Parts: sequence; structure tokens; C-alpha cells
Amino acid sequence: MNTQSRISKSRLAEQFRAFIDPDFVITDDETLKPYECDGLAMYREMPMLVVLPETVEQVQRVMRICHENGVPVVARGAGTGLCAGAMPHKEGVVLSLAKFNQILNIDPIGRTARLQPGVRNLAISEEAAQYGLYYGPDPSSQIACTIGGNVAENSGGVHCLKYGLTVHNILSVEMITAEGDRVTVGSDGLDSCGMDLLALLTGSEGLLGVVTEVKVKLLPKPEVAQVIMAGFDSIEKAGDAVGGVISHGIIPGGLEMMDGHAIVAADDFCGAGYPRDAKALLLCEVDGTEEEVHEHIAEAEALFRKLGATSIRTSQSEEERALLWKGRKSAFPAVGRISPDYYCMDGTIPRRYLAKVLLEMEKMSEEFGLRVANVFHAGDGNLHPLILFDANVPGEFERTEAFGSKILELCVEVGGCITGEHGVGVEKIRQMAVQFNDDELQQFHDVKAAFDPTGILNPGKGVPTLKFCQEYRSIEHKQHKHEEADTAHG
Amino acid sequence: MADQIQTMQEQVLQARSNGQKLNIVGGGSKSFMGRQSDADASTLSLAEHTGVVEYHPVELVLTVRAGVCTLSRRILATHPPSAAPWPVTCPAPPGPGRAR
Repeated sequence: MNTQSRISKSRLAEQFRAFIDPDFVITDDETLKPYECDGLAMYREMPMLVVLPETVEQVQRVMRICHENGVPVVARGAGTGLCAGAMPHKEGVVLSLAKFNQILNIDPIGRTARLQPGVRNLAISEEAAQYGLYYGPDPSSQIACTIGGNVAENSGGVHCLKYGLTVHNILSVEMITAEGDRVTVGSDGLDSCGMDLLALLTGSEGLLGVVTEVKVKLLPKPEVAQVIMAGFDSIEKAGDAVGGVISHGIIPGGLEMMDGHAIVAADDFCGAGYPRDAKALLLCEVDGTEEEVHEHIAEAEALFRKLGATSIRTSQSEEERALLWKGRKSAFPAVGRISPDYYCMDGTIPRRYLAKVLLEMEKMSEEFGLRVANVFHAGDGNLHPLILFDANVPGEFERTEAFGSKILELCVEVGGCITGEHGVGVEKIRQMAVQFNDDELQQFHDVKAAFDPTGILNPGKGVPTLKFCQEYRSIEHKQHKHEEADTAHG
Repeated sequence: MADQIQTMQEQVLQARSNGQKLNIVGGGSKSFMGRQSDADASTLSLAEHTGVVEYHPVELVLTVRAGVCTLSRRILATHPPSAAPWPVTCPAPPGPGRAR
């Protein structure tokens, strides 16, 4: 499915300018530059051109022209993605959905919202608040990221442990196919007949279609929410406490963990009052009715004490709850103050292996000579190790990538997977060869070909070629043999 | 509590080599709804393919084989497999006009 453009840049731009405001058909290097990467700025590529259509019909015409001429298309929302999924193709078009930013309808009775793909995640909840409703998935970038991008990456967030990922919170999407046809997948019902194509499209990273409308479910705001902050003197104890609270039958609205590096950095950043001597900290939020929250908070506090918490503080007001979360929410920029650069990884493991994996990571940190800070969604086993490095030191980014790669392989080894919510994109395409065998990858290629026979939609992302995988496995195998030999001789 | 995977695998492979259609049946609780199977299809029953594969309360995960009935799953979700009243007698499939 290799794409090969059959049209020049100037001719393509001319065709687009016939139906899109010429100011929004971008061809000059200066204006193209901001589109060269998404939120993972280590991976960059300049696109051939960028278009910003403002109607669905214009999107259809863009797709038809690209399809006829074999031009790759990379759909883009707010560009906050963290796997280089929206990194441009050098011979392709970036199709920005930024102008599709309207909330089309909110139905407070049906608890749904119809949205254009460029609507910001947080804007949905802000608009729904007047009806006592909100939208569940809340990725850290929710102030800027868009619902179209959330569908493409199957985004999660702090509250997805209890309320699910994007796939659990949408009812239907309208999308434009590679050929430019407009189709709707899903329905207003909880289930649709036939195969579940909506689940297939969610998280497909722009490989199967371009989303032009999304219908989401809205949730009633919980009556009460309280958060417990529990400090521990070891990562193992904190990891065991995560499993303890969940197996006790309490499903927190959010259950987050931070390690020693992150605790100090976040506390320095915003003065959240975190226990600075703790090796690990849990933030456990319980929401629901007053009685339910009261009961579960008491049970969780008792459990944390029993499981070795060295300090416990429970929010007694909305202000205190917001302060305790402020440290967690600002942890990434806070870590940015203690290192010139950091690389945010994303992998998921079974909860019971949290302590084991975190300790393994500490060992790897020493081996690679790079610090790692952990701030992550402990409740659903979704790790976000932040590898601290300095891009100005030659070879340090390559070492960082190698460290990240080993973390993802460890996730697979314990039965987890190489992404929790950031997606595969370009970043994790190598590790797909570790997660899946050739038969499975071929199935993915077949699905892709069924939606996009000429392969113009986001080519080179998400699913690696089988040849690439064989080469990667072969290199890994040789490295492993070398390491074994070194150990034997050492 | 039986792992029938090998028997089922053989049945599928044989059906494939003979060009035989298979009608996949679980508890048969929806058979009254009128979805007719082909007359020339043979039945691949999952009803005997039962048992707990993995139980991880920390993960809120229970892995059971495909023939385990819903009632059993509900009991297993609240009791460790060793303490559950196993095997659970699953109710007979409902039919038209019978309580469901």
C-alpha cells in the first residue's frame, strides 16, 4: 500500500484553492512549520501542504482529490498527541480539523452531545455543566486536545478507571472515507446490530477515515467527591495499596501515583503540601452520593493505614481537593523544571505487577544513566514514566529512546501492552513487533486495506510492515545474544 | 469444568477441510428468537467448554471459558473460585412465553 503522489504541490494547491479560502491552503515553509510535529516534538517532518477546510463537503473534496492522485493525508486536531500520530508525511497533506469547533447540540434528557471534531475536550464539560452533566474522559491535555483526536487515540485520563476510555463514552461518529464518502458508524442506542465498527474506528489513529462529527455520552456530575492523599516509604507498599483498595471493592474515580522525584518537583512547583520525604504518593478520589463517599473514604483510609501508609490527608473542602490535585496536574511541567528535556512514555501493565515493574525501571534507570520520574494512572495500570535527559548532549536522546523501548518491552513481558492512551503512531511502531506476531499484524494490514485500499490515510503510522518487524526482531535477538555472552564472560 | 479447546479445534479444522458449515451454539437461550441455522450445518457446542481460567480480584478480572453461563459468572465475580458453589446449575434456556 505504498503511496506515490501523481500531482505536483502547486497543482494540488491550485485545486484546493478552488473551493477552500486560499488563506487556508498553506504552502510556504514559515506557515507550514508549526505543523511539522504534534506534542511529541522529537519526531518531525515538514508536510507538502496544509489545508484547513470549514465544511464537511470541503473535507470530502479534499479526500477525493487526494485519493485520485495518491496523496497521503494526515488528519490533525489540536496537535497535542504524544506518539507522533499527527506527524506529517513529507509528500502529503495535513488536513487540519481546527475550524470544526462547534458544539452542535446538547441533549440533557438523553445525556448526549453532538460535536464537531475540533471541539476541545474541556469545552464539552464546560458547556454541559449548565445541565449538571460532564464528559467522562479527561486526558491531561483536555484544555487543548479535541474530541476528534480523542477518538483517533481512544484517549483516557485520570477518571477512566471508573468511567472508561473514549470508546466507552461515544455513541456514533460521522467520518469521511479515503474515497471521500460520508458515512455514520454507531447509533443512538447502546448497541448496534452488525459488527462493532465504532470500536474498530476508535483508536485507529487516522488510518481508517477522517472523523467529522462525534456523538458522546454525558454523565451526571457526582454529588460529592473527596480525595485521599497517602504517602508511603516504599514503591512496593504503594503498589500493593493500589491493588488492595480495588480488590476491596472500591472503584475510585481516580487513583494516581507519583514517585519521589515527582513528589518533590510537584510540591516545589505549586506547594500542594505533599509529604516530601515519601518514596511514593497515592491520590485516591472517591465520588458518588454523600453516603457512598463517606463510607468508601473511611474504608480506603483504614486500608491505606493497614498497608503501610506513612501519612494520610483527606480533603475536607473543594478548595483542598483542588489543591491536592493541582500537584498531580502540574507534575509534568514541574518535572520540566528539574531537567532540560523529558520523554513521556506510555505503557500499561496488570495492576498486580506495579511494584515489580517500578523497581525494574529503577534498575534500568541506573543502567542507562538516566533519571526517571513516575506520574501515572496507577488504578488502571497505565504507566507514564518520564525519562529525564538533555537533548543537547550528543547521544542522550538515542539512549533515552532505548530506555523507553526497554520499558515498553517490560510491559509486554508482564502481560501488559505498549500503550495505554497515547497510541502507537511513529513512536511505538517498533514495539508493535514485540506486542504482536506476524499473523496478527497481517490482520491489521487487511483491516486497513478494507477501509483504505490505496493506503493514503496516515501511511507509515500505527502498524509496521512485516519486513520491518522481522528486521527489528532479528536485531533484538542478536543484542540479547551479545548480552548473554557478555554476562557469561563477565 | 472442562477445557474442550482441542475437541473444538479438531471440529473446526475438519469442517474446514470438508467445506462443512458450523452452527455455533452457547446456552441456546436465544434459539427461540427465530435465527434459523442452515439445515446442513453441524453444531459446534460451547456449552461444555467451561471453567475458570484466571481469577485476579486485584485486576477486577475473571477469565472463564466461553460456555460458562451468566449466573455462574455473577457468582464467581463475588466469590473466589475455590469458595464458589461450583458447578453452578445453569437454568434451562427460556422459550417463548416462559419467564426470562
